[in-house]
Formats: sequence, structure tokens, C-alpha cells
Amino acid sequence: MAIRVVSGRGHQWLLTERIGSGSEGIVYAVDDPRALVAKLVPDPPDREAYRRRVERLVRQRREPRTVRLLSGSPTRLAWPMVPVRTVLGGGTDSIDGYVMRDMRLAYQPFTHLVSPAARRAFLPGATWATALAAAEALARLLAELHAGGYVVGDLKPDNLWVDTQGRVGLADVDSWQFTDGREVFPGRMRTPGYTAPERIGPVGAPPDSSSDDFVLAVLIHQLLMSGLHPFTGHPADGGDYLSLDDNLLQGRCRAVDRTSVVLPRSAPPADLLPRRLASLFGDAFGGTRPHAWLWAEELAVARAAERLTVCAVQKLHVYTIERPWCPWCDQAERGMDSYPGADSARGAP
Amino acid sequence: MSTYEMGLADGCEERQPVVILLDTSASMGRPAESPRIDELNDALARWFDEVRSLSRLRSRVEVALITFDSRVRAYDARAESLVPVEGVASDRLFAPVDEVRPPRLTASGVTRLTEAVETALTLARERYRALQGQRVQVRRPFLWVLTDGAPSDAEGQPQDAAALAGTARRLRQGEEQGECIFQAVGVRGADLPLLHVLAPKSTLMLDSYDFGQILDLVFQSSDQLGAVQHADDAHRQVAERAARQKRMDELERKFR
Ligand SMILES: [Zn+2]
Repeated sequence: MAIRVVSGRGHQWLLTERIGSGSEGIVYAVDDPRALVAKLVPDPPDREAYRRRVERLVRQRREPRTVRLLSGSPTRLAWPMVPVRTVLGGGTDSIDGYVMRDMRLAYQPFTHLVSPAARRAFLPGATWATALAAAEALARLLAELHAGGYVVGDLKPDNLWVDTQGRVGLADVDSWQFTDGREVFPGRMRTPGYTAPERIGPVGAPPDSSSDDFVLAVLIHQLLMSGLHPFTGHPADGGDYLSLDDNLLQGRCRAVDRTSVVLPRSAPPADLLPRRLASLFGDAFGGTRPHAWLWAEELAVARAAERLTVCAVQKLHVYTIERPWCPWCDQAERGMDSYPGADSARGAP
Repeated sequence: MSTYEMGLADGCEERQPVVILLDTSASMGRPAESPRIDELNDALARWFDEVRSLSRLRSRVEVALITFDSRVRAYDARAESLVPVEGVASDRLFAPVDEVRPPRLTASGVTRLTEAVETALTLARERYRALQGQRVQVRRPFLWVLTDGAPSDAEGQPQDAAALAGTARRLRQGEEQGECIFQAVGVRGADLPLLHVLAPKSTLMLDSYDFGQILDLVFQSSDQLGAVQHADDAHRQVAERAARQKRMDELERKFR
């Protein structure tokens, strides 16, 4: 298999293997000395609008707001570099897409840090400090792109990347909501478990920075709680569990009301969070959503070296000095060690 | 909770039961020079081997395999053998997706499709109730039937639409009560009109797919089941995913 794509200027690339497929597009490796990949979107709802969308994004690379977002190394955004379309003879419809940087070079999939099983396998040295660093990096990135007038809309683990230091990258820029001053390019994708309540349902609201801020809080919760989604739990009223979104809509959330859900005994303890962050989660899921920049500031405070301490038993157990003893040991005693380290048998199911 | 139960994630993740009904009737033994059943066996072996690298599926999905020819049997993943469903606790027939070493199937006999579907419905319902009872965050079970033929009755006679009506109605009820999602997949030779009777809104003809691609579709779409969602929406999502997949496969084939 080698799909051939061409840019508007006639430059051709060969796409080699398929390396991923998401809700709308499929990502291919590109035969090129630079580390590039290409995303093709077979059936956008409006083909012309999708072409314009990609063209505008490519043009915006040179705008000051975007230049700032793209500065630094490794690059945090898989921004579209060149619009491409497939080359086919015989009058077949071509498929549109774009070429972007291959995030796999600098990063791993975000789930490698979030999911306990994947973390053991791919990031065995990661600690709660890494989670805090990633949370802050994510909040900062989101705050910056909101300041630039962008809305992610479909913020979710599948679009995110992370490295061993907790640096964070973001892909699928073509699904963002933005404007070029004349035309608004709407965000419309939604992902179960990562959608603000006002966007759930048959006629969901369009995304805005506030709906992004909601999902940011979900992701930060998962990072700091060893993967635990904030709307995890069986309904405490004895009814059936339906979905995370159902829990969300019914206000079942441990961070807001501890009596609303029943969690497995082996869940990370609720009181592992510094008081300030716990109260931000309460606001995010049950009150006025904190802005991304506020999250970034508070996370920076929480992860300062003098605010963290290391467990005497297991050096990968890092926790806040506000807690008198190690929450990860507490959790391990109940059957699940979130940060077991490579040499520990504990926590392996 | 047994260690076997702990094989899935850490108990805090959602659980997605998936029941796959596989046609193992005589027609799957054709064509003689490269029987479809061999193709299916290879795809199953490869897919369940590769799933170990898919951390999200590993931590969420549990699977029950049911085969149907003249008999309906289920795969006991721990005993690694196909067993009659009666008398086996439904819990025993579901295994974490990365702990399944699939059986080597052989093709013979007629196509007891309706009996298999009824069995799967019961199995899924029991499992769903059991996990809700254990306060596991279980999602609606996803039922998939893969067939290349037409349903027959116990005597091997072809069934008509009227004979399928009862099963079709129970499927519809199950979906409306939020107990399951049912999808039918036809491969070469499948009797589409009859599958449409069983699954009017969720029958896919995937004759250009190989079984590996079908298994990908089965598990990826089972895992992406939306939130507070009507079964019809789920069916539409699966169809869209299949169409997109097909378009890309055709494209890749053209360039091969
Ligand atoms: Zn400890």
C-alpha cells in the first residue's frame, strides 16, 4: 500500500502505513526524511468547507498568536503544515487532508500516563509529580490557545500526547473551532466522557472555551487520580449504571458529593489532593468552572518541590505534604498500587 | 472477587461486554481450496494476539464467543473448549479480551442462527444483571452476529421471515430496554433480506472485508459506544464507521 498525495504546489508524498484512525480521519506515515505524518479525512460533512478550514489553519501558522503557540521544543501542536489531497486517475473523488509533524517522535500517547496498566508498561518511572507536570502543561497550553481565539471542542485523551517529563502535545488541530475574521469554522465533534453537560444530547451546544475548561478538569482529575474519571462510580441510589455521561448529567461525582457514587475499594483515595485543587474540582464539576489559566497557576503551586514529599517505603510514591501519610500506600493496601515501580510485584493484577 | 475478575483494569474502568456469534455451518467450509473458516480462524488468532497491545480495549472489554451450526455452543476461555451453553454459568463464558486464546473452529452442519441469537440475548442479559449487581460500571452488552448463510431450523430447513419474527421482536425489546445493542454482519453468501428481518437498522454487508477488518470494526465500535444514546444512534455510528473504513480500504487497494 502506498497512497500518493499532492499539495497545491504540486509536491507529492507517498503515504506508507496506516498508523491510526480517529473519529473522522485516518493518519498515515509519510515517506519523507523529516518526521511527518498525513491525516486524510474521507467524508467531511462539507468538503469545500473542510478544504478552506485546512487552508486557513496553514495560513495562520504565520500569525503572531499561532507562532507563539508553535514556539518551543518539542512542538506542542501537530499544526497542519500543508494541505494535500489524494492523487487518483479515473475520475475518482480525491480525499483531502494535510501533512503535519509526527508527534510520536517526541511523545507517547497520553493514555500511557493516565491508565495504570499502560503506565506500568510504557512509563514505569512516572510518578504523581509527572502527572502534576502534565496537568500544568495541558492547562497552560489550553489557556494559551484560548487566548489566541481557538477552541479545541473535542479535547480528549486520544488527541493528546505526553512525554516522560510530563510535557504535553495536542493533535487533530483541524477539528478545532476558530475564525479567520470572516468565516467561523465550527467545532462539532463530541466524545463520550469528555463532553461538557451543555453539549450532551441530540442538540448539543457548540463548544466554547468554557466547555473546554470543563473537559480540562476531567483530564486533570484523571491525571492526578491515577486514571480515575471524575464521574466514575456506581449510582449510590442502587439504580443501574448507564455511562459516565449519565453520571455527569445526574450529578454523580465523588469530587462534588462523596455519597453520590459507590467506588471500588481499590480506587485512589479521594483525600490525596491538596485542599486547593480539591476545591477547584468541586467548582469545575459542581459550580463555576475555573479557567485554564487558574488551573495552570494552582498546579504550578502544587507541584513545587517543597510541596511534594516522597514515600519512605516506595520511592515512586510521590504525594502532597498536606497529607500526613502516603495515599498510594493506602491504596496499595486495598489491592491496587498505582505507582508500583518496575521492581515491585504489587499492583500487577 | 476472584483474581480472574481482577484481570480487567483496576475495577474503576467501565466494562464493555461483547458477544460474538460466529457462523460455523457447512457453508463456511467453502470454497474447498481456501475455506472461509480457515480465514476466520487465522483472523481470530491474529486479532486476539494483537489485542494485547491495545491498552484501552484490554482494560475495558470482555468477550464471549458463541458458535452456531447444527448446535449452539459457547467458548469456555479458561477450559479452552467449546461447550454447550446450558448448565454453564454465564459469568464463566465472558473473559477479558486479552485472556482469550480463540479456538480452532471447524465448519459443518446447518445454520441455527435464531437459536444462537436467543442464547446470546439470555447470556448477555444475565451477565449485565450480574455485573450491575456487583456494582461494576458495565455498559450495555454489544451483540454481533457474523454469518455467510441463511438461518435454518432444527431440521435444517431454511427459515422464512415469519419464523424469525419472534427473535427479531425480542431483540428489539432488548434494545429498547437498554439491555443490549445488536449488529448483524453478512459476509459472502449471506441472506441479507433475512438478516434485515432480525436487524432492520443494523445489518451490514461486509463482503469486501477480511475477517481481521471485521473484528477491528466489531471491537472498535463496541468500545466507542456513545453515552446516553438510543440503539439506533449506535447503529448509525457503526454504519458510518464501516463506510469510512470501506472507503479507505478501497483507496489503499487502488494504490497497492
Ligand atoms: Zn507509599
